[in-house]
Amino acid sequence: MNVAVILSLLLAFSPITFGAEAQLPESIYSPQFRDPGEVDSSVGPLMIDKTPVTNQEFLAFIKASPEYSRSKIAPLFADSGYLTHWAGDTKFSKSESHFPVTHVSWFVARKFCAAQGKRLPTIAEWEVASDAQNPASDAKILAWYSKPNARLRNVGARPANKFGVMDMHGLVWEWVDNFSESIMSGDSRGGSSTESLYCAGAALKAKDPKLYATFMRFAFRSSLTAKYTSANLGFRCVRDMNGDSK
Amino acid sequence: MKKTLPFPIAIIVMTLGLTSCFDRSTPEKWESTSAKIADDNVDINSLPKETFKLVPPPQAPPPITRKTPARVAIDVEVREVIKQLSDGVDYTYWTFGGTVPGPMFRVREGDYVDFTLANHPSNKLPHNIDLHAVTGQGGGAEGSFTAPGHKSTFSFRALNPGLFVYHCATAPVGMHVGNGMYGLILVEPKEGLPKVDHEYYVVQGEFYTKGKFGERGLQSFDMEKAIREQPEYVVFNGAVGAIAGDKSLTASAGQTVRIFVGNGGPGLISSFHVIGEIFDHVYQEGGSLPNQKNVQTTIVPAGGAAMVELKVDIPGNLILVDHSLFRAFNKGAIGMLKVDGKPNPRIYTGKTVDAIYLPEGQAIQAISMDQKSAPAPTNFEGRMKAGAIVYNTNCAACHQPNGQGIPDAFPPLAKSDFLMADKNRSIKIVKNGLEGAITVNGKTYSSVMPSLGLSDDDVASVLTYVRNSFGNKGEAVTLDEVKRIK
Repeated sequence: MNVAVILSLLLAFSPITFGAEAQLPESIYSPQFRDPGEVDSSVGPLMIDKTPVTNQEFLAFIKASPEYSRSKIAPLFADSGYLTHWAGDTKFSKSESHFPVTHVSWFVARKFCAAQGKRLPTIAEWEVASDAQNPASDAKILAWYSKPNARLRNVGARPANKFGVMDMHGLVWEWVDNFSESIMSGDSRGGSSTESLYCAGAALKAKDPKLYATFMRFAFRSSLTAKYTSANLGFRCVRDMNGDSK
Repeated sequence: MKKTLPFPIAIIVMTLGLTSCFDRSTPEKWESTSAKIADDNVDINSLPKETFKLVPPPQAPPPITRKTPARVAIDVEVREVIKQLSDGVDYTYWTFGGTVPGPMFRVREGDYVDFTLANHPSNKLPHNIDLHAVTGQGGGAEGSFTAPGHKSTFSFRALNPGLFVYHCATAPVGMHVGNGMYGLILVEPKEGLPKVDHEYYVVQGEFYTKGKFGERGLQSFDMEKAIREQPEYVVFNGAVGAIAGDKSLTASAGQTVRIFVGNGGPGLISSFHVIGEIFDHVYQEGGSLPNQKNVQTTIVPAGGAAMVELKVDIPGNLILVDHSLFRAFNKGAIGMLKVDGKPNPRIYTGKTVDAIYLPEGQAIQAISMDQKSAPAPTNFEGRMKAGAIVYNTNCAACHQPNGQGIPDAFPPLAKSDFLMADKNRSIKIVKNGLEGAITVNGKTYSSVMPSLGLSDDDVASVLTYVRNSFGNKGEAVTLDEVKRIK
């Protein structure tokens, strides 16, 4: 076993990783898709979870709030796929303890974060923290988006990005608080827009029509509704520096 | 600047206006099959229900025997799958129903279709479907936009008969289509299509892989190549050899064949051709009218289709190609229709003569490249020999092989006073060309001789040659003399 493998194992099982936060400094978010009048905005500073929420972390929440367990959840808050990868209300394969939790709806992800005194990140915060709209990252991310689901693995096993955040890509999609504002139309041939939806010319509204991975992320978000769950959709939380959650 | 239409264009515009075939001045006068169906007041809920049965390509679903409309349920699942693109080359296809192209749908003009798109839970991406046969927002793309692990249903009335492409329309659209998300839907006209012995389903599409054509292993999508529209693969039915070898289409001599041809693109237009046969009928662009007969090659636009019908008269292997031939030869756009049966020499004999061919004058020397690169001649014989070659290659076409020229056009070199009078002038003309009137042997020639771009060595050789041929007799021209003249 070589040093890199040992190191990554240490990292993977290190208790420091889970629940740890990284600081996202105040940054400018320049949207890939803009509606008329939309301008760059400022995000942060805030604390963001270094890794997506794991099955084990989610279990602690379910134990504290049994109304969100699989058998008790109201159909309004999650579709029938909710936590289907678990063996029961509080059971899952031990080997998946540190896998990101998936098959969770937006409603419950939001509740989870609130229970920690946190909240879901906004699109702007997530996009900045992921460093995704940088063309160099975009190409790498695209390769992952292009493949059907690979098997999940422990969170925190890959190097952190420039903000010290891990697994923003290459593991699971993540809920964002205002996912429904990614108004890419169902017929998403262009950018996001409420006008000229049915024409590829709308791609002209995109900051960079070559950011294919970004198109896909926005298309994915806009295909969701708040009670949806999916085998490859998880989440992480953020915390405002003054301690308030919105 | 005041802009007015030039007179002839104005006339054309006016003429077009006057000669329109239909009076479309009011909505009531608009004649179209779609309008008739749209207004027929059929009770959708009382239509008999049926479920459409999917068959994999290159099979086409069977003709519709119903004489009245029905309510048809079509269910398709989107799956992201790894399959073989070529020998030793795999690709992650995004598919309708697990195949490229997706299964062909077949409904009847006037049918009401309940279309359900399921996005498999193991897929990573949202998908949808735009059926070009659908009159409605996005061709159904909006109504079918579906996250992984979910399904959507929308309904539409098949208003226009014809053969239509369907494809995924989720951003980035070109990538979804370029990964294999396309197929055809046939809306049969009310009266049906003429009966044929075989129907096949063939769709062209191109693939933009990171690796070059034939590079082994699992290949991924290359966005830059896609944007430049330079695919590594152009194939029929999703893979090199998908309808060739033991997967060829088949028929027997004397049978009739209809091919539903589509082009998923995403970028290229197909010049669809079957080598060794001629299409008896073509429904150009997939419209409902068999509007052309006896066609060699038919254009199938990206995102378009055509129906071709041919009676295969004699046995043989008919090759289906995109006649943009590098696609067929180097990128995989080849399929095969194997026709068995008895040969018919009244139509085609095959080779009947095989003999050696000895053309007359075969001994005429070719000007080989190594003569050009041979060491520069230094003696008179060498100059004469090299000069003859330069003359025949560059001069004889005008001044003629015998140096006689052509009266009133090209002056003679044979016994030419103009040529022999001034050696330096001759060098200058051969090097730089000549324009304007000159007098040769008492006759005036007013023509142009271009600068020929000969090397100084060749100029020395050719002038030595012409000054000592065709009855001329003069000094050789040396390389130094040529070099001195600018």
